[in-house]
Amino acid sequence: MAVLGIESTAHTFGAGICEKGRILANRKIMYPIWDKGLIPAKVAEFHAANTYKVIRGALTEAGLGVADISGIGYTKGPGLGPCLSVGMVAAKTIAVKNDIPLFPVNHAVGHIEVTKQAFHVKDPLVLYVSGGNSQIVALSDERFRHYMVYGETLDVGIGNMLDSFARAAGILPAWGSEVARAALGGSYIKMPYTVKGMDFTFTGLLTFATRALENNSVRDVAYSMQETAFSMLCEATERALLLSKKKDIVVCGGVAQSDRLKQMLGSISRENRANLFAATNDLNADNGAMIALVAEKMQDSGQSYAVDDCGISQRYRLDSVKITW
Amino acid sequence: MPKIIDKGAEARLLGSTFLGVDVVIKDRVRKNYRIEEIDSSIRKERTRSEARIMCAASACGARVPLVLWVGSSVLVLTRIYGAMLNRLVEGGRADGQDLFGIMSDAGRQLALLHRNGIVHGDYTTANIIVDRQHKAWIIDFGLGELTSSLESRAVDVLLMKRSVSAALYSCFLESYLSSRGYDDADKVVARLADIERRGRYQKRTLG
Ligand SMILES: Nc1ncnc2c1ncn2[C@@H]1O[C@H](COP(=O)(O)OP(=O)(O)O)[C@@H](O)[C@H]1O
Ligand SMILES: [Mg+2]
Repeated sequence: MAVLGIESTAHTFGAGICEKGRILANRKIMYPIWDKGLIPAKVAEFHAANTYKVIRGALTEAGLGVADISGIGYTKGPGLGPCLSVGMVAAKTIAVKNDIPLFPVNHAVGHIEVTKQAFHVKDPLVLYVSGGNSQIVALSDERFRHYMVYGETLDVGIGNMLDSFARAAGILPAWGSEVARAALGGSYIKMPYTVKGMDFTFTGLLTFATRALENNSVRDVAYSMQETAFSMLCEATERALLLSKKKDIVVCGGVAQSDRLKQMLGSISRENRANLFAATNDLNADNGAMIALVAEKMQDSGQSYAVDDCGISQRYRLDSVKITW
Repeated sequence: MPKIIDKGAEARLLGSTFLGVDVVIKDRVRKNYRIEEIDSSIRKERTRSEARIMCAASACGARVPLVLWVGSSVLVLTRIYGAMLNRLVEGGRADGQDLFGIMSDAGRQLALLHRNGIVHGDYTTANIIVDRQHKAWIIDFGLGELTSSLESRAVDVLLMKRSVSAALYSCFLESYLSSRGYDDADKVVARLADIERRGRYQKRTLG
């Protein structure tokens, strides 16, 4: 029996299907971002209009019908309320109508587990870098098994910082990968670098970079900001690696699509004799397959939820999730 | 010839002699992942800041190694001979009485630093050397700050709390609270309770 996963935390509405840890289908549609930030209500409207098409597409791709689905996962959070609601309602509708168990999934756990599964990694140190979040975590061995936070951003996520900068610099579409393109061949301008142990902050850097646009080229500012931000993440990650004594590093989430970030982490892993793992870009972008994968693990390890307990939580913290597998 | 005594996330520590004195050289090494410009400025700033804080700590009478020389990414410190407190605590090598005495000393030293506007930033048993007279020497001000922020001071106390048993911690706390000339201790401990309520339970120290 297969498990369906529905993802709708922000700009992407995705539906994926997996069976025994294997991904059978992964469909998604993305709200077209050009120069504006996300207006949650508008994006939610877009998702609602595409729900049927995307879920139907995933079932067709997997060659399955609803009768073949034994569990449905959806993203409980963290994310934008209106967007999360669309995914939850879609999941509930199918689940209740067909009497299928529901599983509320943490979005970050999705990114982490899908990478672990892809490379058969058991106990890595994880750098999770997405729009709204940036955290360094690893599984704790306590009785409440969870992803313990070693370090994290004390203000905004790295992805949101890159997007805000792109908007300020008029980079189109306003998106992290375009900032990377704009940074090519730039030269360095000194920028504020703030790491406190394994924690870090990005707003000081963003403010500085935005002001620096007044009398520097977009290329130099983009380059310096990106190098500074990634260096901060890497320094904190290396400290956590030594403290945790882990041998594997997983980098995941939207910003894990950055080649420069992966190159820097590669250097850290070589110097510390650790291995670096990063999934393909379609799995680091938001997607439904990772939600299906986690839902299947929740189901197989005996979790169950009453329909009324299946809500959303915009600030659903990664370290509050019990890992039962 | 300098000999490596330790290698951390940022620096390697070498034992050597300098002007006839036994010293350790704390050498912040080049990190290949970051561009040269960022790398050299960070190593330089961190080295300067650590030197400044250690000098301030010496000046107020805290038991810290003396800074003998500051290079662009190198600190030369007087070498302290003794055992790392974390080893003593784990191995139970000091007898019970000694550990309690040492923890009181560690509490007094922290109060002294805090009273003088110095925050250590990584105050754990991995950064305290115990000499043959059972005195606690505070090392590694790499994450230190010159600040009177209650939050930062509370984190110093919290890190120690997480790194030792409840009995040793209460001994440490008692001397921190009763240190002469330091009136903020109660406020710091109240803030610590706040931080624990906010609850991000984790080990954050490297030693
Ligand atoms: N002044 C000193 N005298 C003797 N040993 C020292 C001294 N300073 C550091 N060490 C040794 O080096 C180790 C690491 O030094 P530390 O300053 O804590 O660097 P790091 O930032 O890498 O943790 C310490 O645990 C200690 O064993
Ligand atoms: Mg240390």
